[in-house]
Amino acid sequence: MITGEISHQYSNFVLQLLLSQARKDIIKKRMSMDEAVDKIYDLCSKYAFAVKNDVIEIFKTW
Amino acid sequence: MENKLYTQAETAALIKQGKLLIIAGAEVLLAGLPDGYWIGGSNPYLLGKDGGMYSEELLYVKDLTNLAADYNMCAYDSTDIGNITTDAFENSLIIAILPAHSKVLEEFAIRSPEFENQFINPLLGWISGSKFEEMGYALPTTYLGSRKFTDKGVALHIKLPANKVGRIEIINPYEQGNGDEVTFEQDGFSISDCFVNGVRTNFYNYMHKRDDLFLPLVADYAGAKINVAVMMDDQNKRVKFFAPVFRDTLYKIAKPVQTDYIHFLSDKLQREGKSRIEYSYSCLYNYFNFALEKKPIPGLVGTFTFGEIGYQLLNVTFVYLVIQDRLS
Repeated sequence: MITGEISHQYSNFVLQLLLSQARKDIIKKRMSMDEAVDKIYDLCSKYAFAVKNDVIEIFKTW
Repeated sequence: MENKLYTQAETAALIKQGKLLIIAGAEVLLAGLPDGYWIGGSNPYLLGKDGGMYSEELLYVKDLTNLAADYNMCAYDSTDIGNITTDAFENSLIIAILPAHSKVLEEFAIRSPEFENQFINPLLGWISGSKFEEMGYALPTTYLGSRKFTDKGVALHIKLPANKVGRIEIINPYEQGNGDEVTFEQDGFSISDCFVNGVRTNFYNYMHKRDDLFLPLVADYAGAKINVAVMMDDQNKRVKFFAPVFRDTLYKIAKPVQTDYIHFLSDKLQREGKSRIEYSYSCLYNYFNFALEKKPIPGLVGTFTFGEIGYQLLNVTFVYLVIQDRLS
């Protein structure tokens, strides 16, 4: 998700923005991959209802 | 609270009742409101039950009293706008109004994607303006209660109940076209050169040759289509933008849109099912481009803004907030 290797059009707005910003921040070395994973995990936990369909489509499980 | 636009007297009565409010409307009306627990901004383009309108008689008032476990109201200038996300309560909403043409807006627009604690809590709001024909000499205003600003943004920080979470979504009628890839070598609101398919090009000349100047640039943020509206600066032979372009982002000119905007919007909103739209606002560009004057949008009242905030500055977009139960 973070590297963009999974080609998926996410449906939740804040997840879209966070992923896009995390990719930029990692390239600029403002954020590590581990930090990005933690941020996205926290966000998906908060917005479980809104990101559930995206996660199931990508990982085939919830 | 009834889903309608309010007179100044009705709004003053709500303020005197101690309600926690966000208010949009003509400057002449805001200036006459009493002090209280409200933030506001000048914006005379409203969406009422009877459709879009320019009004110097009515206000769009959102009452958030019942949603707030706690709240805080703040003003920010260009030096401290970065605190808007760190000042937030732990589980909260941040609702901001920033004046058009201000330094604080410029600072927010360029830096907000990198704000500390950005994306943790919903950051939403809009840009205040004035009558379209008076833009440039009638200064847009913001209000923190009865305190009026032209150079500061205002924000309402709302702590949500622990079992609730706020979520922002956007609806954008535009998507990227199939044409050239456009990139920029610096962030900014005004540009002379760009790269078209990797070749340095004068962006003013490039746009001048096109016959679709009203179409925005569109970037793809992992699926979110983010517009940047374009304005030709013929005097200086530059292109100005209503939101900044970013140097590490790829843009394309939007595909032309031929749609019934109201039908399109209503159709998109159906994805929310039974979730109630708590607060919403749309770009003034949509009001003009899709001729929304006197055209109601079923179930919605609101405001047409001079720029939308959905974590960052957006253009030509409909933004809405949903409050839902937090899943355990």
